[in-house]
Amino acid sequence: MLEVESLHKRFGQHVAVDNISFQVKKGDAFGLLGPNGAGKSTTLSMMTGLLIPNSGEVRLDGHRLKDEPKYLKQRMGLVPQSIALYENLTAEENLRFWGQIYGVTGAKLRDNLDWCLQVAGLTEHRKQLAKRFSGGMQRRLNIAVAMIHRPEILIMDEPTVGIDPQSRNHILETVKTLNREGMTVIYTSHYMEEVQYLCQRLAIMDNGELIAYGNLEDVRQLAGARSTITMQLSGEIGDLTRQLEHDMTFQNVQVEGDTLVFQAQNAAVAVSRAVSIIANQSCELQKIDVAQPNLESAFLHLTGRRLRDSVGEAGDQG
Amino acid sequence: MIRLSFSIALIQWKQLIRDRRAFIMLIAFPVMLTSILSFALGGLFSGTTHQISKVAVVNEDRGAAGAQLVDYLRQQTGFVRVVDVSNAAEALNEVNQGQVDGALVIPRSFTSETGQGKTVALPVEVTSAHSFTRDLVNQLVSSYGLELADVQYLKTIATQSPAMKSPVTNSALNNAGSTGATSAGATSAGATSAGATSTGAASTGAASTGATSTGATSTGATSTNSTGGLAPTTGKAASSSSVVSQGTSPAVTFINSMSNLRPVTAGSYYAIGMMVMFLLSNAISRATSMVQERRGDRYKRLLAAPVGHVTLAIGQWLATFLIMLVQGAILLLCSRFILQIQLGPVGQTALVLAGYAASVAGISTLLGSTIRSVQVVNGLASIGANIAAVLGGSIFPIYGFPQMMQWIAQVLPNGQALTRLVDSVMGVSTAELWIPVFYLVFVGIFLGTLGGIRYGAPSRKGV
Repeated sequence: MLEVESLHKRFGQHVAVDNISFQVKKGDAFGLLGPNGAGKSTTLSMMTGLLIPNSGEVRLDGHRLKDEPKYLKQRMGLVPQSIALYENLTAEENLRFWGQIYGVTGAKLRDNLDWCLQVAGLTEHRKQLAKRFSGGMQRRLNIAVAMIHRPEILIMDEPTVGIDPQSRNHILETVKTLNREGMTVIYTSHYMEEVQYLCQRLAIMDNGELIAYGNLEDVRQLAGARSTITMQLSGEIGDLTRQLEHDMTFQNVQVEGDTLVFQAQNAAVAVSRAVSIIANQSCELQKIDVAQPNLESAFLHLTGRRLRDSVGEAGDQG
Repeated sequence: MIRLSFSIALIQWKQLIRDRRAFIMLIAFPVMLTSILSFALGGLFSGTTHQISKVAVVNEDRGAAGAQLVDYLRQQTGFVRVVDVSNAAEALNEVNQGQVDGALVIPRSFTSETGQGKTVALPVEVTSAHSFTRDLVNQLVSSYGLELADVQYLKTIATQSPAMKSPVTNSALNNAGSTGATSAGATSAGATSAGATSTGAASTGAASTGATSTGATSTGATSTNSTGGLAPTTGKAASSSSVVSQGTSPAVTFINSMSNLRPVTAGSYYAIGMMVMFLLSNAISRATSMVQERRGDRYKRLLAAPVGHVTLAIGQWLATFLIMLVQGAILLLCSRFILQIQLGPVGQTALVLAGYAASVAGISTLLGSTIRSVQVVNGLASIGANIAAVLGGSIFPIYGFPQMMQWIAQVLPNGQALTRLVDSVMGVSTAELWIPVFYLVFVGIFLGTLGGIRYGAPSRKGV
């Protein structure tokens, strides 16, 4: 079991990670969800020994990272956010090098290498230089390299950023399969769909704090039975927001451009009231979307912001 | 640990040689610049076909010193060919008609005035196209002046000590060196005043000092430095030279022979200087790459692996060492076989090059490990490397520097490497190179170790 206990990291006056604690059980697919700047990458950096925390500790099966870094590192595989390959080397050379770094040699290295190439769907491209790969193929090789030593825990830091849907699906399927085969996966993302699809347990981070943690269903229910209603409008919105906020039917009302978003206990009643209010305004309703309770609505409920909005406005430090 | 370090070094080497653009820049650019310099310096650059100046000599002096100077010049067959001319007007005429490259007039009072320790001016006439000849003649006359001064000194000793009747030995001569240089200064200053300034071309003239050896015999580097030329930095006396004094007798006989030290051409000097400069510059550029890499996710991946940071630092050091070694070897091989520039023995050159590659690898590892900003390293690469190149003697010969700067040059790895490679060209023994090479290796390992403390270690400030 991987235990993160009271991890705290400060950069000058800025608290990047504020006393967070969670556990990841063997065989879990654990999601770390949050907008950019929430502290996800900083947490991962501390978990993998790249960054020294101000306080707190990380343990794997009782072994402290601080005392036995090699023990923990040997059992973890890190997939960094951006491509971390030697571009002028072939896929096979990359895997072979990283295998050597993790102390894998001989027949075991050959077996692992074949397995990694197969999992990444790159067996036919093993002799090709990494720089000649498409973005999706590079992402897949990036993941394969992290698996060359067959780690117990695969730590993935937003591995699907900036790739095409087809490659994204391939990666998600691969991770799902690896987890089914028994590999523990820690997956960070700001895409709630990915975390919902892959993970049984998760933690949601915002501004360095852990705002929710538990099983997927438990976290999803944090938003209550509220649905999230999105309305596409055209014309002058006026004081629509103020009117809705004064009505108890609507919660977490937000207007962004010509899009109105709110939550409601009873979606049908809320939609009906909203339509009548809109009818008295100088704007027209173009489209309505009603979403059942999900991680997005949980995040909205917990922070008063939508996850997608937060992604856009956040800084560099993940 | 070492195996992993080699893996890291090998992977970086593969990265480099497969990046054609980087590889070409690493090798082709320095070779191109060395070639341009070779063409710019023309005949001076060749180590095997340097020009022999034809000099008209007018000896108006009827004494021994004048005749000896003429004989002395006649012996410098590698540098000048003496043409006897009866008077100054005829000599000038020959210079103007281009029949000779220059003319030297030995004045009537030469023997008597030098005998009294006075300064004597020797006019050298050349056309503007033959300033090299003027500098060359100045150097030769200076050497003769030094030699004459030594003899004057020995004559004085012999006069004061009647017991000294036997020929003076090498050791006696060497012991007399520093004092001899003082009196030589007076004489050679007179000789120097005959010509114009001794600048770049004088470095080739200095080769003659090494070859003739007599002037350098007693004073070594000190006497030659006064003429601004290239000198054996080991301060090594030419052991095969000797001077025989006939006690109190006014007759003086010089016995000249060639020195063990060979001359160093400007070509050799600058080929070595350029190589040394480029290696330093490239090492700092590699530090830039290290800083950039430290900001990337590949570095994070390395840090997340169960590898000690010392192993990672050794890998970086080794990679830079190998790259510098290969680049240096290619540059020197091109200089030797394409530009026909004379270098030292292969073994000695390889030894010094390896030591230098080690030291610049250390510099690169230290900078790449400790500096966080690419701009700062770039600044160091563009300004720091150039300053180091100047101080180290890659742009101007070290031997013309003031004493303090020469000391700095010897502390700097590039100055040390340049000096030792030049010494190797001059023919010093391998034994004399070991300590400098150990110094270079020590600098490399020490700086690399300092870098290794930081490189790959978990950070408090973020990676």
